[in-house]
Amino acid sequence: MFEWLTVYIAQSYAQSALAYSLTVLALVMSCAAGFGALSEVVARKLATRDADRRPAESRR
Amino acid sequence: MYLALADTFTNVIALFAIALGIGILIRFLGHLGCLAVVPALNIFGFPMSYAVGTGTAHLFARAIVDTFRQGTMTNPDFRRGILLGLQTAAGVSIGKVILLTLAGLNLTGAPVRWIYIVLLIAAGIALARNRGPNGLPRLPRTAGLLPFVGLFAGILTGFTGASGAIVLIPAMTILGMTRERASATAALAMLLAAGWGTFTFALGGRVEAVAVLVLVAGSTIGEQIGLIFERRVPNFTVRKPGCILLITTGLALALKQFGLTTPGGYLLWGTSLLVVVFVVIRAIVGTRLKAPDPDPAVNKILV
Repeated sequence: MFEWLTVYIAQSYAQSALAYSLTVLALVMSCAAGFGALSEVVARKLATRDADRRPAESRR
Repeated sequence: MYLALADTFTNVIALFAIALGIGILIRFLGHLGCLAVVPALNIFGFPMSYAVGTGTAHLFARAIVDTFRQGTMTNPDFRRGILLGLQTAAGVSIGKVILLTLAGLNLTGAPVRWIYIVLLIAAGIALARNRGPNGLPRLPRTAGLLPFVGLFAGILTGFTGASGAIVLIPAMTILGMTRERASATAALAMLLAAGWGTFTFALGGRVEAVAVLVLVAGSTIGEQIGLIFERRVPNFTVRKPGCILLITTGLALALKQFGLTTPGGYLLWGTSLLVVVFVVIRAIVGTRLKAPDPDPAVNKILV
């Protein structure tokens, strides 16, 4: 499924190791930042739901 | 899937399932959860130097994901964190040179595997007995030792791909820092050191970018599953699956070391899948606990 991508990556590394390593850094940073932002959104939603539930629990 | 740089084949679905398990581990055990990455990659066919390079890139990605978590970067000692980061980065370079020299002599596998077997089983047993850095003794005014600690943590990261934070946090706690501040400072140091490690390993052609992305996606999703599970069961229960998975990873790596790669792979994959299924079932049918306080219960940091 991703063979073309891995072969392309290997070819680009063969052409320029420095360009490859900078690309890997940028790729890892941008993907991790995206996932980090998404996970924070989920964590905040769960925290908001807990905050909404807390008054109902205290009334019981 | 064929990975052209490492010249090896790997199963992406199995790798993703393992990454889900690792994400749950990271949620429950903090930095100790990252210990399972390099053994998993090695068992699934990565040569050790590629597993360490890819594991270091995963550490960098995790460090970035962690900066988004509320509480992770709260009140770090910036000066000490940056200095420690530079020292750890120097250690990473030393560790990488040792690793690649051994790889050139085709001697990398066994030493790194034995380090991991000891680390994983010791960490699993220690956590099962509930020993954390809180019970460690405190030494007065010996902060002069920190550069050596940073260098050692860096060599550990560069040589094995294990997170240096497992050394830095207890060391800073022993040397008198509060645990929260030590966690935040170590997170800052590891962000710098793992970033440098990713760059140098990629320069040496030891980072498989596609595998890193699969690992990051899987571990982040696994962490969210762990977060939902955490709200359904008491805190001491959530550690048990993590300890079991750590010890099983050590045993699977021991099987690989003795030439039983396929049983080791099935053991690791099977346990990881069982833990994920157990966690998902408990998250769906478990009794919800009393709503936690808004302080960072969802974002706690463990060693």
